[in-house]
Amino acid sequence: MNRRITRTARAAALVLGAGLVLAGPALAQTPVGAVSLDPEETITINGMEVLHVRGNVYLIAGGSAHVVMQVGDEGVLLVDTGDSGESERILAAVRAVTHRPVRYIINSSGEPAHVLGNGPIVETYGGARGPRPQQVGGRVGNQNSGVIVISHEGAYNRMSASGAGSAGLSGDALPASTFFTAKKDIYSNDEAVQIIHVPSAYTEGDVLVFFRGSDVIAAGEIFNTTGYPLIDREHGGSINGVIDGLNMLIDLAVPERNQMGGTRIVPSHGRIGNESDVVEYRDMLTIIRDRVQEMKAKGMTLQQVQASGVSLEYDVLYGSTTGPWTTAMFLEAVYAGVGGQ
Amino acid sequence: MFEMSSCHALFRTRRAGALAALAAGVFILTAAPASAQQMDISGDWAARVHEDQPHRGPGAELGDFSGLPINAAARQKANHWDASVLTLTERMAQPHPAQYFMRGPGPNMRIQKRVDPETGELVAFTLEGVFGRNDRIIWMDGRARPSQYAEHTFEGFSTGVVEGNQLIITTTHMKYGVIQRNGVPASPKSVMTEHFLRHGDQLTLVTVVDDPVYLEEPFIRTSHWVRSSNINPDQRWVFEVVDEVADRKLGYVPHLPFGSVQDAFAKHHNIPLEAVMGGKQTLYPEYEARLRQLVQEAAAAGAGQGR
Repeated sequence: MNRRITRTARAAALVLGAGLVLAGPALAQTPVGAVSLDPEETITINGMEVLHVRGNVYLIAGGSAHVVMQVGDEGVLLVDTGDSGESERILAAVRAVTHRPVRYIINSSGEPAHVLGNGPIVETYGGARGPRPQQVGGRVGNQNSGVIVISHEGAYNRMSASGAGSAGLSGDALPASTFFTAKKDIYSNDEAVQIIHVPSAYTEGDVLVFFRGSDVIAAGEIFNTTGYPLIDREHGGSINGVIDGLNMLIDLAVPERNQMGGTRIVPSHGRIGNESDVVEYRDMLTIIRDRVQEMKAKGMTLQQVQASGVSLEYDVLYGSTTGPWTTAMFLEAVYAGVGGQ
Repeated sequence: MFEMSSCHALFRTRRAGALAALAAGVFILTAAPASAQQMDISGDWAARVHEDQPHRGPGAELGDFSGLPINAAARQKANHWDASVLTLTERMAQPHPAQYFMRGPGPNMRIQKRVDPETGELVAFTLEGVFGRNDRIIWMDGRARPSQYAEHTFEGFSTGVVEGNQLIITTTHMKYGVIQRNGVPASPKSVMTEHFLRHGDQLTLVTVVDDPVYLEEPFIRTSHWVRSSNINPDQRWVFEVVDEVADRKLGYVPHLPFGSVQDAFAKHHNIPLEAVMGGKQTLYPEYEARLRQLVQEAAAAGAGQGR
């Protein structure tokens, strides 16, 4: 551990030194970027990687979808809990950083891969927080122990539903705290946390989670650096909602200088980004949306649009011809979501 | 005796082993690190932009993709690129990405050695003064690459090794960028390999970009600097973001209509369009025969229209 600290300190000193020399006295506090790329900030445990994002916030990657973790004296706040069977590995990753208990879970949507860990994790940390009239082990449970699960009402509806594409959760696994307005605020680990609703994006219940002190946003399925965004039209999703969500992210994020650094944005899949990465993703979706809209207005059928190469320059980065979400399915969702003749 | 006193400080506990260690220490200190001896690129370097100057100063003309081994996806991206996109507040201050910025404008560079203050080992070179000041760190200490989930940056993550008379740099973790300033893209999956070659006060860089998303084969180009004590590295640390166009709403993205082809360059210089649209076939001498054929076809078509 001492060696780690020493090496990290040396690297920091080196970078700071570079910044001092580069920038001159007036800008001496601005270091050259890349400290966040220090590989020693990554911990790998049971196939899960833990990366320090910024401030109090960490990324747990390697599962079906990313889990974001805020850590502090009050305990742990998780954004999403992973898929079925991933809870043990996620909790091992949490414990690699802190032994404080999980106190909050915020679900970024009702997508099963984001919420099926709710139940096991809530159970591990003493059940749902709140009034407990029932006897627990011969004693009345402490109302302040346990976990509060929070989501938008739309996500709750999907989580509690049964059938294909729904998580089918019940009991303590379901959010005890829901909201149906534009925003819900909480305060956790010495920083404001804003839960911001993004209407009709992936589904009708998506939220961004903005850690204002750490300056990190967990974007859920709104932002994905490895694929086209999921759009679940049966549950209220739309291409325009996703683009609106990306514009909300761009509005919230502030780069440090010259589109570098600043607010960090954690996607559902892929790599940590900042505003410039979201801008690229937003531009890509906007261009595809505009093209499909124009084609549809000219009377082209879905099949003609899909065969036109409309997204050719982005398909190698984001598209797929196999799996649960292909380029053809994405284009179908875009086509359905734009006005036509 | 500098070597002696240094070695005594380092090896003062075990006398039996000290002698051998002392000898080794003397050798090391006199010989200096092999990498530093073989290849030292530190210093102030003035760019010589005579090679491809129009591309590096003014920038490539719209629709000039000649000499680039780009694939159909890259060509579609470039053909629909609208320069107005750089008027967006969220784009106007972006720096040049690593896949491009060693080419233009300049850059005049200050390269510094960064050594471990305790051991004196070379830890990194810092390369300062590029457009947008996303200055580079070339790690020389053999550190591992970051996770696939780590942030990508405009400068990327670079490691260097010395092989013979070359400093070879491998860069990954770069953002979505360009390889040319007229919209020809470079993907975040690209890997850049650079070869620094120094001949006295002349410094040559051979840059090789491999991009499985946008290139048909590696893209190679060279750049050149001369050692100078009179350079002026770009001092613009922060670019100011201003409102350039009043009625732009957040979310507006300028781009050309689907199906657009940027043919202005070909028309202006009377070159067959195919020849300036890039692609690996256009890079090799064998393409000359195809070019002659295209010119003849165009002349025949023109003559036909003139009748």
